[in-house]
Amino acid sequence: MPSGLDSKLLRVRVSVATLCVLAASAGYGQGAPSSAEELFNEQMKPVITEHCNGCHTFGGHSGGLRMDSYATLMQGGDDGPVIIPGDADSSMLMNAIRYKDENLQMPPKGQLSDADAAIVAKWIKAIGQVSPAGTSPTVSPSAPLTPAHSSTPSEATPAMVKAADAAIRPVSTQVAFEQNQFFEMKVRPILIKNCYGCHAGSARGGLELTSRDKMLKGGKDGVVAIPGHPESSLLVSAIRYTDDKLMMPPGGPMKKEDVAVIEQWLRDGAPWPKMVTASDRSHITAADRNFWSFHAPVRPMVPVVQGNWAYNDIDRFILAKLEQKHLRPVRDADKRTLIRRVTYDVTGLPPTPMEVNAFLADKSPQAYERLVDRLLASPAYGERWGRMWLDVVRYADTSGGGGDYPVKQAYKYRDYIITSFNQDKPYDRFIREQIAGDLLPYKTEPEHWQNIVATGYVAGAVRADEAWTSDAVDNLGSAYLGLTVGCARCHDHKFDPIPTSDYYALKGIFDSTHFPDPGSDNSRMQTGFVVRDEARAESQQYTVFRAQLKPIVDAINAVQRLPGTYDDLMPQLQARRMNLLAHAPPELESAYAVSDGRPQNALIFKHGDPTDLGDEVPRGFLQVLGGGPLPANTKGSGRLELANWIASKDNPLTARVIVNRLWQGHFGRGIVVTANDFGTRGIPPSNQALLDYLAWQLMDNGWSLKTIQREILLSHAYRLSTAGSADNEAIDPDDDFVWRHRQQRLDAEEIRDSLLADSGTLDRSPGGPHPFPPQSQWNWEEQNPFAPNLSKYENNHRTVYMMVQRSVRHPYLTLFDGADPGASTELRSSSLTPLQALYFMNGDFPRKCADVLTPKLFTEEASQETAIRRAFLLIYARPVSAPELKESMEFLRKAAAVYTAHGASATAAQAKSEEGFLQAMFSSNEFMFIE
Amino acid sequence: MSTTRRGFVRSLLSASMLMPAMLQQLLAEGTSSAGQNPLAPRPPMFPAKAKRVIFLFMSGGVSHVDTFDWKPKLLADHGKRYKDDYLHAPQWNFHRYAKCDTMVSELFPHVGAMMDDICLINSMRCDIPNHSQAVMQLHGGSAAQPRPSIGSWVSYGLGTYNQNLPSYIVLAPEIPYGGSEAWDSSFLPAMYQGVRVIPGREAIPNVTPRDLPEIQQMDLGLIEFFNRRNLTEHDGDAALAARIKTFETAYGMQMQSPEVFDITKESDATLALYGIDRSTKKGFGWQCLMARRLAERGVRFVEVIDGGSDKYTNWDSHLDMKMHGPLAKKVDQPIAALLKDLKLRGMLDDTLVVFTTEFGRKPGDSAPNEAGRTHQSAVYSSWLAGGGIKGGIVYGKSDDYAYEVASDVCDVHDLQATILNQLGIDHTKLTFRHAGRDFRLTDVSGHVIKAIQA
Repeated sequence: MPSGLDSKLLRVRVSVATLCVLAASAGYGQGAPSSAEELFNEQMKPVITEHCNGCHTFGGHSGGLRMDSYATLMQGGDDGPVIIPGDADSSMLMNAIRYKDENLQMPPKGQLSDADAAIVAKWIKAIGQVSPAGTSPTVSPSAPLTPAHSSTPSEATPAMVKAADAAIRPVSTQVAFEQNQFFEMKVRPILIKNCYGCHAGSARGGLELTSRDKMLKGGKDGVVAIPGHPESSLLVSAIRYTDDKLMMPPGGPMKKEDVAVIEQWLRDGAPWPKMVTASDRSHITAADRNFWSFHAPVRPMVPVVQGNWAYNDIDRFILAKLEQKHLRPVRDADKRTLIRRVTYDVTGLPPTPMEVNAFLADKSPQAYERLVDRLLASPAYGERWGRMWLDVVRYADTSGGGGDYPVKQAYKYRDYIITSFNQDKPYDRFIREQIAGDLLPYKTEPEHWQNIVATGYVAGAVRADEAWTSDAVDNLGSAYLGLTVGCARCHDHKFDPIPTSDYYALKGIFDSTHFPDPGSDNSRMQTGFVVRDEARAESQQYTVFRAQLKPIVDAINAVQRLPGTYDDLMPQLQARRMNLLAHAPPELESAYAVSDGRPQNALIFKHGDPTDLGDEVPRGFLQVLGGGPLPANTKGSGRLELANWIASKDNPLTARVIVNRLWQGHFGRGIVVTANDFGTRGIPPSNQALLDYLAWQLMDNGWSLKTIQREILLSHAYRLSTAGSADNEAIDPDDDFVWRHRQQRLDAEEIRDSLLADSGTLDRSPGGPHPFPPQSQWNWEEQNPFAPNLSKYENNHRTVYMMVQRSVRHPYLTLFDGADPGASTELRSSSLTPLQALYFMNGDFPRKCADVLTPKLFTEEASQETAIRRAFLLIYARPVSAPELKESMEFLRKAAAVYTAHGASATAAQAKSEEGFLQAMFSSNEFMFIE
Repeated sequence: MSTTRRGFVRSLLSASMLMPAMLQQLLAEGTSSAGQNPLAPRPPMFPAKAKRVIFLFMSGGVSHVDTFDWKPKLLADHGKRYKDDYLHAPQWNFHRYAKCDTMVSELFPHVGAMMDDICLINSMRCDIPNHSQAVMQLHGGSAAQPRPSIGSWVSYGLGTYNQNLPSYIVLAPEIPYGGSEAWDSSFLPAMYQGVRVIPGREAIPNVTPRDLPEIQQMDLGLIEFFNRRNLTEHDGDAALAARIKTFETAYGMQMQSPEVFDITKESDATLALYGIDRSTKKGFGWQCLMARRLAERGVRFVEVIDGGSDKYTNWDSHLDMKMHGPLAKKVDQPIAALLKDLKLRGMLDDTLVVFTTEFGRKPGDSAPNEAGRTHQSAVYSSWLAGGGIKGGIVYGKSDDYAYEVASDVCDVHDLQATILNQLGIDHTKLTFRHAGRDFRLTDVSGHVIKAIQA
């Protein structure tokens, strides 16, 4: 790192540290005097309203700074406090409005008048005087780094500057998240155990250690903790027992490792996560709700940015953040890279050489826009993005319960998802159909039937442990709300304000819902599926059949309930069942879907144990998100009400969670990295204003996902290259703020689909149903589950149509990190393993595709050179370079010679070498990664 | 290209067998610090007692009071109230085993007979009694976040002896709680990731070459040529480089795998020891024998997993403790066989064998007639053998009813620190810089348990 930059960074860091110390010593914060607040309302409000409006008020929070109220202003922003009471010259705000710091000039559109600036300066000065001098500031602004209680301040100073460098370095959200975990797992327990006896409620020595503010404020002896400087913090010398004037805790020294934890924590800047402290969560308090994601998004003002880098508003949010973090976007991706990237992103398929050439040839300014529109209109879009949703709802073609019974109707829900994406079904409508489609009004029977099929979402809950309603609640929380509601199944959620009663309020809704039985150890046949033609189901043919089946089923159930095992009787009964099913009348059209059952409230399972029942909980929705019990006039299960509550603009999470999934799909990383956890233990958004903007865009555009995706794809941010930048990496190693594009490994579907597409064998038609055995052959049980011969299920349709078992992961999908069919997958991993390399070297499928492709490229009339050129355009979407051509020709010649030497005919030798060449291209990194 | 990245690529690729000279030239810019293969064996930080680890992981939570932690008072006070629970005595008798007279339940007679070689730890503790978190913490140190697995850390710290086999191999018929995170390399480079072998017909899929050896060499050479150009254009990107490395390891696996996984040349006596025959291709006996074979062939860290995340077939005996019976029967003889076999071959001295689980099970329950036991992370049992560990001793104690640690706690980080210590690694010094911070397996915790060293 160049030393100039280093020292500059250092300066910034030290100044932030200074502000922190000052903030602590001046004693403002939560306990600030109302007079200062009054002065704020009186003097500052008008100035702020005029000049800062939009970016820092009414929900705007550029740089993390809100200026709506005295309290939020004093909290400061991402870079720390902006006001130092009494000291206008040192206040970041003052310097910003005076345009003193070239990196921070506010407001960006033009400097304040001298009169207005004077008002601000006067106010800062004034609050220094009204601020209570509880403890007179022991740290003076002129010597901010001199620790109050270091016995040798002059020696401490150089060390502290170094420590400041380490402590206040910019951290990524990942690191912040880790620090929070560290606090909860390590630091807080130590404080509670060793310090809270005297420094929690009773504040011995004037010191309370129950919040960061209180700790920083110090006690009678002044400042005790200086973030970033454990070696100068009184707190540390006290617990180290090195200062005989003050040794804490008084009963004897803490464990050495605990001391080390506290030191580490202070060195990290003493991060203290906001904690939900309620122990009894039956009621949600205002404090519980005091978390960003539990408040409805406020439409943020679009930041004003300079220059012409920004193509659209998304870019303005991105750029404002980049500028604030002193990051510079890298150069743009070239056109070839861009078409390959956007084609994979939108359709999951590689662009054809023709598509690439057409795009390159189109020199008009609208070329890219037209490309995006063409891709979004392609049916392949639904196959790609429908898969994203299938990941989230843990789609599978089998039940996951005992026997892992195949659900031959499940594909209808899968196809419904794909179609919905292709139709750009409004997301709120999409939610209503999946949760309560059967209860929605309809105009035509086909519409009604599609709505019923959509409830395959609910029916598809994992059947294991007889706990499908619990799984339905868990997935509902993760998929739509981005909350780990499932944690509240056995106890109040440990971190988020979700009481167990809220969990069972939701569960009651599913308990009041009739689920189909896909077959299990006991029943071994489908029952309770929704039949399309109910009248026909009541015709004589079917009633007679059911009457024949009933006694056998009853007998089976009776035997099941008998104590002991009946190894002789049961197989006979099952054989009779299978025999009868073999002569069943033609199967009626049916769906793996739900209907309303008897309305009932759930009883709490204490500690999650279904045999240990607690109180009955009225059905309802999550309180922390503004939900309550079902309306009194609710007639049915409450599913429709639940669907409406989720699919609402008033729900703080619904829109945010889905736009974040879209963002993640296009950038490889969400604005909230934990896409299924927007709760207090998730990682907070890297750019909340952008997230909220997107959420509002979605809602204001009729919940159209394609509209948002189009805006994302047309942004400048999306079109950046993957180029590195040492300067940026030093500040934002994880690319949280999108200064470049992320290189991505192809996912499991993309690999297989690309091999099929490149070899010209991809069947673009929908996959349809799977060739499962008929019910008359169903006889699986827990210990002997459905174990299909996978080769019978193979086809050349896109991978989204592959048969996916829930209990046994598909080997191909497992190899390349496919989705988990047993639990919601928020983000695929991208492992790189030798087993994957073996797949490309020796596996049948890549070779088969190479074999099929060979005669298509290496045609009779074309020279080998021409064929190689074609191959590069096809597989890499670029022309071959001279050295590559030479090496490839060389390979073909040598390989053919080896084959000939082993007795192959000239023709066969040539063909085999060509196949090997294409296989090598498929195996290469350029095929495997998207830039 | 940042200096760290260039250094990384250099170390990654310069010693690789498929790497022609061109990349060397690329990387030669600036002064070379004699780049080496990151998986090449490296000397430990201080003289090591163990060269390799065999990590036996029982998924689901083995009950300590029913296996290795003898609690006479629990037996005597069966049915009495303790805290909010009714105490439940173990269903198995305990006997004194071996010369050291350590008490072990009759679930583990074969392992019991080996107690003179084993250091039993009855004061294990981890943070969270939930499967996924506890499995994650056992492997990666953190219960909150997936982190590099201990096998990945060891591979990163020491490299491996055999470049034709992965450094970290996981013999796992099923996937444990939390999925493949257990053996994931997380932020460590992907080449340190555990490679899972699913016991069965073809232990490693696609391992049989499909073409003439010289043709395959040429194929790989061409892939290499394409990848090398691509890497040059991308400033030596770490992911691209890591994938190149996977082809090299794959090639080596292909060469060596048939011999490694062929147990037909094992003696009758050896096979009988493990309770298997020549046609055996899976099962816990096969896994243990294979662990020895892999260790013998220079694999640094072999993990043997029993059970997955299905509570009906793993050690998570909520329903009825009797379910421990068949599980113990399945693993007892093979584990003892592994110890004996290693001993016979003189390998136990420098092979550390670890037997552990994610947590123990609660000795009492709020229900008076509960047949199963629920999770308990506050105290449980594990054991170590070989690799410079003192045999025939018991370290640490649980309280009278085995609810909590009574003395000499061995936190899961302590276990990790001790394992690394036996390998000659200071757990506080094996770090990796990630996202602006130096991470290590034990985070800010971990003490080497000195008392159990031979």
